[in-house]
Amino acid sequence: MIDIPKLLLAHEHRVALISGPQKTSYSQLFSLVDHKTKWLKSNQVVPGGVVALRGDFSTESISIFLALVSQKFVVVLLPTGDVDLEALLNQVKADVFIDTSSGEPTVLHREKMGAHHHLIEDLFSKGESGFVIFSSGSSGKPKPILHSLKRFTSKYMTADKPFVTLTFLLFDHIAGVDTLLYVLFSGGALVTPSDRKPFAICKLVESAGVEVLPVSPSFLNLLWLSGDYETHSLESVKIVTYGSEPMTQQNLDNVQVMFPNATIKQKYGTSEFGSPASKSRGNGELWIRLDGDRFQTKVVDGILFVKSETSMLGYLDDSQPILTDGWYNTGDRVETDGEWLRILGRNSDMINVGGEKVFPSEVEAVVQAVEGVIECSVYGESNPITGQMVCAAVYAQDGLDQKLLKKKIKKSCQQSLARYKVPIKIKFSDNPLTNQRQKKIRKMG
Amino acid sequence: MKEKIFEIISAAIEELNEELEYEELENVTVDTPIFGGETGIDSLSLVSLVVEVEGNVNDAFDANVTLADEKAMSSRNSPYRNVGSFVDFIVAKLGDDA
Repeated sequence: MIDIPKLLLAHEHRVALISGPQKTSYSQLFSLVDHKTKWLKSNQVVPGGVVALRGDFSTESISIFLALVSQKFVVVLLPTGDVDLEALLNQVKADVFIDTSSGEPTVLHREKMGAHHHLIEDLFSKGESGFVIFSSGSSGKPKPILHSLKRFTSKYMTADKPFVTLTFLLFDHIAGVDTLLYVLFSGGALVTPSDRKPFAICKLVESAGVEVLPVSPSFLNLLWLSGDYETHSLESVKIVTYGSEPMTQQNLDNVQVMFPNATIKQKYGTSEFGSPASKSRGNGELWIRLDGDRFQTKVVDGILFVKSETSMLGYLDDSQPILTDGWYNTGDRVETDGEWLRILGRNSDMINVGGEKVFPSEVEAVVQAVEGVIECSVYGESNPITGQMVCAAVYAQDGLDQKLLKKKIKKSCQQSLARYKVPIKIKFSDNPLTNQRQKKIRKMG
Repeated sequence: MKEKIFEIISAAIEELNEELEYEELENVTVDTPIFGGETGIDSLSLVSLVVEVEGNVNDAFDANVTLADEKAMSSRNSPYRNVGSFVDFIVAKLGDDA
């Protein structure tokens, strides 16, 4: 078990969290975690359980997370947004659901659903704690991934760069957890944003003196378009990291203009393996090297394979990772130049909207259900603002007002899908799509 | 031409604002901010607005211009800053296309 209280007290005089005007030191965070530990007990949340936690990064959610992982718990980090919460809770057989998304945390005990997954039982029998995150998998069906806290954090034992870091990436994403734990192990400060628009982020960087900015290529694009970097001082930023979606050379050139004194670093990671230390060949380059003695890579037929000592314990839905002699197939196509890699992305129908993944079938099902629609095919088109955007080709009944139908389709999608999944462009086809679809009408953006 | 483009943009903003209901997007003028600063829309609304305007501009002028491309992204002053800059950007695009 990782001794969280000891870890926090090791940095007791330093600032741990910056949330708006409020600063929390490590010794205060220690007290908060202690308080939350008692609070869990008084709410009959007892060790040996699976606890699902929902909420963005906040002093509240971070201290509850730390209180849980200091004891024998598995914490399931739930996605926010349009998810079937009940299905996810059932999938991991959660015993308790804690929601911190709207102020005061609420605790809900759930009906016992039989024994925990054997990987969780194994972890508990060793007296360890862990966490679960959901990856979107290759089909869009959420896959619960179990990590051991001890194993995952073994790479942070030498973390020694205590930077003021923005928690831009979400709590329920592997990159968000990675940011949180690295910073706490190194004694740095976490700055939690309440709004992720460029203006709000610039203001926060300026007021909190943010040094590390782990963001997405899309955000960097938007920052450029907003012009807000010109009206704020971003000089405190020493390192800008980006990942999770393809970066264009144009965008990277713009980043160098916005942050002339910062090191610009690409990160690569997966929910199964976390993200290893990486090095970009140059500030303006898309070539990277994945470092770290606990992480190995090899490229076979242009596909990246990785092997890591800090990888997950396994999937909780009994699917098996594609492993050959311990090497995990990431499915990502890469180019190589000696020891340097360039990530090209995946061969799949998946659409990447500013780092958020969209699976065509999910959107097609909603469009298909709209009255008047006979057939629909959803695909991604490239768009320099968000990388890709969702588009739909629709074959509709004769004689319908297309403008009206377009509105109906958008409305229906808005009601049942997350905003980034709603088709931006809807095109009507005069012919059935079936034939075309068999020939793969879906285009890669 | 400028007036027609302004009308297309302002109609698209009004339609978008039916859902958003942002006060600063009512009564569109050339100074109405689109993207950036404290007010204005988010990235998904921006993409949606640009695509909508693109379709309507191409229909109205029988043209085939793209309003979100690398050129728009490389410019130091974004064309999407406000309605006026977006109008000027489209005028220039149509000029190139003719």
